[in-house]
Formats: sequence, structure tokens, C-alpha cells
Amino acid sequence: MNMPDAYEFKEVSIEKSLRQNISNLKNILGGSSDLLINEFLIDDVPCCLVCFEGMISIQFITNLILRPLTNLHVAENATSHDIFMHIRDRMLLAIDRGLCTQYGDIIRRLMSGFAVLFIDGVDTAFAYGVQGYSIRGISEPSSEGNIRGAQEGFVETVRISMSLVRRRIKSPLLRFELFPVTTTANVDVILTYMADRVPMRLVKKIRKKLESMPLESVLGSGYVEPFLDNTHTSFFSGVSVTERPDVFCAKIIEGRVGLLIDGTPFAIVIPSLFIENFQTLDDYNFRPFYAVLIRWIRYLAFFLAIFLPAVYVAVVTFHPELFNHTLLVTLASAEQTAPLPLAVEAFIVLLFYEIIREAGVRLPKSVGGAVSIVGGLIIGDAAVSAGIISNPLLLACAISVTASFVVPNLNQQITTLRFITVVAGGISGLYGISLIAALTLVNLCSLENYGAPVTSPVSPFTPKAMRDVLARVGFRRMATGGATVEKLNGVNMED
Amino acid sequence: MEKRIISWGQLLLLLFMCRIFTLMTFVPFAQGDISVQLLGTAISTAIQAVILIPVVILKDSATDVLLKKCRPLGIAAAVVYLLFFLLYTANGLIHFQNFLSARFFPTADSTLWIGVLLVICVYCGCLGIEALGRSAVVVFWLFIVAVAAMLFASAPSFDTANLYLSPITPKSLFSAVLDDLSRNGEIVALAFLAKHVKEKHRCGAYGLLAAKLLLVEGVMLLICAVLGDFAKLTDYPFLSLGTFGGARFLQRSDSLYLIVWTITAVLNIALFLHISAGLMEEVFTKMKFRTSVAAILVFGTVLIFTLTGLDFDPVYNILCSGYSVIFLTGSLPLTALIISKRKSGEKKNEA
Repeated sequence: MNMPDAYEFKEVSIEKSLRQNISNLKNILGGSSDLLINEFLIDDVPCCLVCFEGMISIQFITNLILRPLTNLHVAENATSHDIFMHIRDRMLLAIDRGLCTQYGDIIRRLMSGFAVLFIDGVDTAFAYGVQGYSIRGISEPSSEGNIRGAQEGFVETVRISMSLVRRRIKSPLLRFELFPVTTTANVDVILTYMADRVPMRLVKKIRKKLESMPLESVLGSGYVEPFLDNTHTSFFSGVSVTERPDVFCAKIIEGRVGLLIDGTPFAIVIPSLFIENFQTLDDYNFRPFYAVLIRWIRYLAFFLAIFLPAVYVAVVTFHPELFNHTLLVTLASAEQTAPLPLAVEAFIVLLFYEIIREAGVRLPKSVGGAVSIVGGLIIGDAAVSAGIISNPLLLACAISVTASFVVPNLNQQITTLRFITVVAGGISGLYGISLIAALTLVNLCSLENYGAPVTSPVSPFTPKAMRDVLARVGFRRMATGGATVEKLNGVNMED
Repeated sequence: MEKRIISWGQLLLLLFMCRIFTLMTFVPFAQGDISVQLLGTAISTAIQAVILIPVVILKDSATDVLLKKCRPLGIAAAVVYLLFFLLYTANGLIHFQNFLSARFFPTADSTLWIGVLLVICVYCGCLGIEALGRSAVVVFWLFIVAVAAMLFASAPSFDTANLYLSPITPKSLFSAVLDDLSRNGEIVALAFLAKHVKEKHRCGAYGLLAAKLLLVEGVMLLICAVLGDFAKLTDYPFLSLGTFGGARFLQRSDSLYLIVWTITAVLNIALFLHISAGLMEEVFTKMKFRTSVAAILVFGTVLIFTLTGLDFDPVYNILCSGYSVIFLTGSLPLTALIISKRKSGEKKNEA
């Protein structure tokens, strides 16, 4: 019989012979230097404990596993079977314990920080969860700041992320489905949903898509998104990403499916609505009147972020009759000294901003501040003083860039559209900008993810849900509404 | 055409936006004074209400029914509808091209801008009726804001002395009715798009008529009251209403309304290209890239008349007149309804 190897091992059953099992493991894992195999005797029966160095906690494994096992005495002339039954029925040793009969399960558990106990003469192994690898502690989410919400964010370890969700939704209807995905890396993915409010067809569809992903590894949530997003040909996305457990729980309660991925702190929520990019958890912590004001500021900021530089270029170049006399003279005197066409100026300013932003993200934190200073000096002061760029244009671009920080979830789309509209405005004025706006609008309205139009509840119009779009609905009304995604007009997740 | 589903509200708003697009080039005094136009529009709406009855009763579009019951007649009907929609779209494009050249880009080659517009409309048309219907909901609110701003700015200039009634002659009234009917090509589109609607409340079509009547009559009254006799001199009175009714901090605001007109132009043309593509599918079943072919035909028509300097209006007035609208919206669906009932009766008798 051929020995299992690294390509053919998943469904191979383990042997009764300890020697054979050890030999098979070494063959599968290629004698990896971090593989620890410790052989010992329990009542003269050969056993061995296998684990990966660095994945387990020395303290746990010593106190919980090694000490009890090495001191174990079952009976005089105890057989392998007796020892196995004794350990199985009378010794818990670890909360997270499993029985493995195939090498695929054993390898997966070993690589998840389990220690596996083989007993000579038994074709079943014990796996004990004694994880002790270094993990990042729970900290404030780096990409989604807020004022009054929780300061906890998901972490790379999916089990800890699960606990953050479980603590917030203490309901037996909250379900976690764990299964490994990808052909090579077997990354753990947790499908999360509320069983009483999610359409099960949606769960099945997502499960099927995850199982058929032709990826070798998942190193970030961005790897998985294209396979889950039915709107992959669109400019916008039908899935959202969050680092916050509170936001994640809020969306799960609305009847969506969440995805926690091991190795990344960013969870995916399906489906997602476009209007949710403008809603934050802080809206529900503030007084309603202030929340409404802030929400409308975000809507305005979105349009300013995309259109302000383009509209400025278009109006000054093609439609100066819009301005009143005083403003026209001011702008004309400012633009008179600039050597380049306005559209080119705007393009250069925005391009330089993107370069500085990207540099600030990639640089080590110790020198990141220097980039901001240098960028501000070069672009903000020197360029204007030299007369290369005009002040009003710089002001328009600065307002646009600042406004884009208000809606970080749409940063990719805002940045791209900003460049496109500047070019369109520079070529054909407000006509070109209108064409781009129309194209973007129709593209956005065509999106539908798992039966949920992305533009809901604006279009298709759902009057009750619009209360939370135009204003911030009060908690008493929210409690009676029982809002879920499925209740929106035009949503049909059963198709 | 693959059957898609939208709501009645989305369909009505989509067709309403199409009417708004034609309103942009509306010249109320082309056929007479305000009194003639007001009465003519009202009578035209009443006629549309009558001719829509077969459309409301039919569960499917006239061509679908005719193709199932009498294929040669169905093909002929599809060709006639296709010709109408292509010419109607070309007419809209030519008017929009003239509009751009006259008011915004007097020196630029407007043919190029129209070509770019068509490319975008092809893409939007390919995205389907749901995308267009949902977009219409958003654009409708944009239009409401624009009209509200126009009203607010025009209020100080409103003068009831400009609203005087003139004697009405039967000939001028008849011309006004036909003129208004010829501008309502979206009624013919309704006969096609009603099959996409998921609800059974087809009487909502009369809501569209009511909304259009309110819009057109309101705009006419506003133009006359604000601009007075100047409305007879300007080419685009609705645009002029926006221009001279600007806010305090703006000198002239007509460029801002260009945004609304352009977006409604995209919706309008994309919708008719989408419908034309569906008709091509019925006539030429194996044709691919139908929306693009429709766009090429429309662009070709526009180019012919633009480059040769010929006036398209006489051609349009013959082929897409008010009579054509009555025939395509009333007569053909009525024929389809009669044939459908007769065939159903024959089947029952055979059974």
C-alpha cells in the first residue's frame, strides 16, 4: 500500500501501528523542522504526542496533557484499547477535544494549534486544542473610527472574532458554520447568520460559492469578495466589509449573512446596500437631530468629494456665466497667472495627493509624519507661490479630498470617479460630468446582489425604510419595525 | 426580449422622465397662443386615455400577442414599431444636438458629443429595464428639486397679465392636439413596457397621463406668466425660464439645468434603444448586439440629416405624427386584442 504524501492524504485513514502513523506523518509533512513528535509509554503501551512548535502553549500542554498522561495508570496489563477507552471516557484533558480517524483531519487540526495523541494499536487519535500561538490583542478598529461606540475590533484569529459576536448576540438562533476553504491553505471561514431571519437559500448559495472558490489561499477579505459579489462587473460592490463587531452584529440581526475569515480582521457582510455606506453606529448613539444633520453632511460630502474639482474646472472653463461678477473677477485673476489648463492643474493636484496618501500608508509610522509635512509644503505652499497652481483650485481639491474621508467605504469609487469627472469636465464641461453621473447612476441602479437591489430602499422605494435614510429613525419606531433586508420592496432573496 | 420585472411606479416615472426630455424643446407658441395650447394638451390627454384602453386590457404587448396568434402580422407590427422608435429616438437626438449647439457649444462639433452620448446610452440600455426604472426614481427627485428652484426663483417675475386668452379656431386647436400627441411617444413605449410590470394595477397608466397633463399645463402657464411675449421669441422657453430665474449668487443658471436635461436624455434614449433591441430580437432572432445596431441606425439617421443640412421635422411629422401615435398605441393593440379574443373563443368552441 502506498504511503500517503502531501498530495494524497486527506481521506487516508490512520493505521493502528504507531510506527506507521509516525512514518506517514513525516512523509506527508516532509520532515518539517517545526513538527514535534514525542514518544512515551502509558502502562507500557507506546504512544506519541504530535504538535507544531510555536502553535501550542507549552504551559497548557504540560499541565493539561503531558502531566496527566505520563502519570496515567489504567490497570495492570492494560491493552491499547483499555487505555483508549479510559482516556476517552474518563479524561477530558482539554475543553476543545476531538477524535480523528483520517490524516486530513489530523493535519488540519495540527496546523490549527492542536496536539494529537496517537496510541499504538488504535486507529483513532485524540486531538486537544492547546493553542498558544501569538495573537494580536483586541484593539480599536484601525479603519472605522467612532466616538461613542465600542472600541473593539475583530482580530486575525477567527475564534476570538467569533467570541466578540457571541457576546453581543446571546441568542441560540445565532449560528456559526465553520468550514475550511481553498485548495491549498484550508483557511477557516465562519458563516454567521440568525437562523430565524435569514433566507436559508441565501446561506446555501453563499456556502456553495465558498466551497467552489478556486483559490489556493485566502490572505485577505479582498480575495473572497469577488466570488461572493454577484455585481463583479460593476463599479460598486454588493458586499460590505467591516472591522467592527457591533456593526457586524447589527447587520446579522437584519437578516444578512456574515463571513469571518481566519487571518484577517475584516469581516464580510452579504448583501450590502449602497445607502449603508453613509450610516455609522455613532448615528444611533447621538440625539436624532444631530444624527440627521451629520447624515446629510455625509451625503453632501460624497457629492463634493466626487464632483467639486470637476464642477469647478467645468464651470470656470465652459460656463463662467454661472458666476456673479465679483466671483468671476476673483477667479479670473487667480487663474490668469496659472500656466497650465485648469483640467491639467486639477489632475496634477489630485494625482500628487494620491501619491502622498499612498506614501503615507506604506511608509513606516516613524517617518509618516514627514511625508505629510513635505507634501503640504511642496504642493500647498511652493506650487502656489511659484504660480504653477491657483489658490481656488487648490481649495476645491482640498475640500474634495477632505470630504472623501467622511465616507471611507467608498474611497475607491470616489477616487476613481474624481479623476474621471475632472477629465470629462475639462473636455466638455457640465455636459461631460452629467454623462458620467448618468452612467454611474444607471450602473449603480443595475446592481442586485442575491436578489437585493443595492439601491434599496431609495429605488425600489420602500417608504418605511426611507425614514432611516432621510433621517435617523427613533428606537421606539425601530423596535416596532422589525426591519430586515428581506422586507424591503424589490428584494427577492428566494430566487 | 427577456422578461424583467419592475414596479408600476418605476415604469411611470421612467416614462414621465421621457416626457420631461421632450418638454425641454417645447415651444408652446409654435401652434398658437397659450389658450390653444392648454386646451389642445387637455384634449390630447383625453384621447390618450381612450386609446390606452386596449393596452390596459391586454396582458402582453401587441407584438407579442400578434406573434403568438398571427405571426406574419406580428412581424409586420414589430417592424412598424421598430421604425417608429428608431425615428423617435433620432428625433430626440437631433433636437438635443441642436439644443447643445445653440445654447452651450456653439463652436464645438456636436456630432461627437452625440456619439459619446449614444455610446453611454447603449451601455445603459444593455443594463436592462430595471436599471433604467430605478434610475428614473432618483432622477425624478433631481428634477423636482430643479423645478422647485426654478419656481422659487421665478416667483417674483410671475405676472398674471401675461395670461390672456385668445380666440381659438378649430384648425389651430386640431394642430395643437396633433402636435401634443406627436410629442408623446412614451405612450407607445408604455404599450411595450407594461408587460414588464409585476403588479396587476395597469390602470396606473392613467396616473402617468394625469402627471404629464399637470406637468405640461403647469410649465406652459409658468412660461407664459414669467416670460410673457418673450416666450414667442426664444427657441427654448423652458430653458429660458431657468436662465432668467436664477438665484441671487448666480448670474445665469441655465448651465445647471443642463445636468438634468443630459441625464434625462440618457434615460430617454437608453430606454428606446432597449425597446428597439427587443423588437429586433422578435424580427431578427439571430441578430447579436442588437442595442448597438439600433444605436448605429439612429446615429446614421442623425448623421444623414446633420451633414446634409436637411430638416428632419417634415420626415418626423409624417412618420411619427399624432396619427402614428394613435395607430401604434390604440389601433394595433386593439387589433391584437380582437384577434386574441377571437382565437380564445375559437379554442373554447373547439373544446
